[in-house]
Amino acid sequence: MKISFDLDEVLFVSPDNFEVEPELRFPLNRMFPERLRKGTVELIHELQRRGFEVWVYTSSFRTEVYINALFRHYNIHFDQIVNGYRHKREVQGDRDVTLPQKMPSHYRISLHIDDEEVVQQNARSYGYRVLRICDPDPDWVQKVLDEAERVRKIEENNN
Amino acid sequence: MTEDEIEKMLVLVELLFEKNGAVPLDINEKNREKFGLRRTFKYGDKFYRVDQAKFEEDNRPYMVISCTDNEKYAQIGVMDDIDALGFDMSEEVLDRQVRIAFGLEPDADND
Repeated sequence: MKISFDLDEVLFVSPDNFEVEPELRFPLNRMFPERLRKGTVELIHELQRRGFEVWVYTSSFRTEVYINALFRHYNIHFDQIVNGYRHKREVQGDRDVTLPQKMPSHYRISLHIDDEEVVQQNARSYGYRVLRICDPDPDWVQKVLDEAERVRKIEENNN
Repeated sequence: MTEDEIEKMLVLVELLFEKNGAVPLDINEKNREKFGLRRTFKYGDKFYRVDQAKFEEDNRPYMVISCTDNEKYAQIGVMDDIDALGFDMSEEVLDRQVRIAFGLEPDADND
């Protein structure tokens, strides 16, 4: 089962408002200034340990190389990364109608984690499940794990 | 460090690129001459380069490994910086860092 995470305001947060993972050593902290929400490393590792395929789905135009390198320094390896370029190429394509900025259903992603209300609103119309994570929440890791297991159970019962 | 010592270390990293399976390319010649960029190497479907760089807070130079998976960007030398290595690293450590950069080994260095 595939789970995807947005980056900005979900995994990348401001240390002014959130507890964050330890900073990378100098000078990597200058090359990769984004800070990870505390619990990110534990959560991604646990999801993968439980057999979930973990993706990044971001509307930002950070390159795959950059995203992979940043997370590699935290010993995290995502199964796939969808950035703005890839979404534009594979999802929007040549369509005249502008599709939403995220279409997890296109990639058969079972659960997407995002902060944006519009992504949550689009979920029903475009056939995907989303868990909204935005504010600081000490239980966010467990909430994601619980929702992932709940969705997995639903999918197993449907098969 | 002298310029010769710096150059020696950068050449060493480039040799480690090749040792780990990367192939040197003759591309981006124009910008190499104009901006003094070093040679590009290809490993798998990605392009790599090593250069020296300094950061504001520190007087010491670092070896920065850059990478792109976009051939058009590689042709003009545009890459993302993905790692920074100290000039005081041993050859063994540098070899491991190159292997990590190539995705051949996991990165456990997140202290």
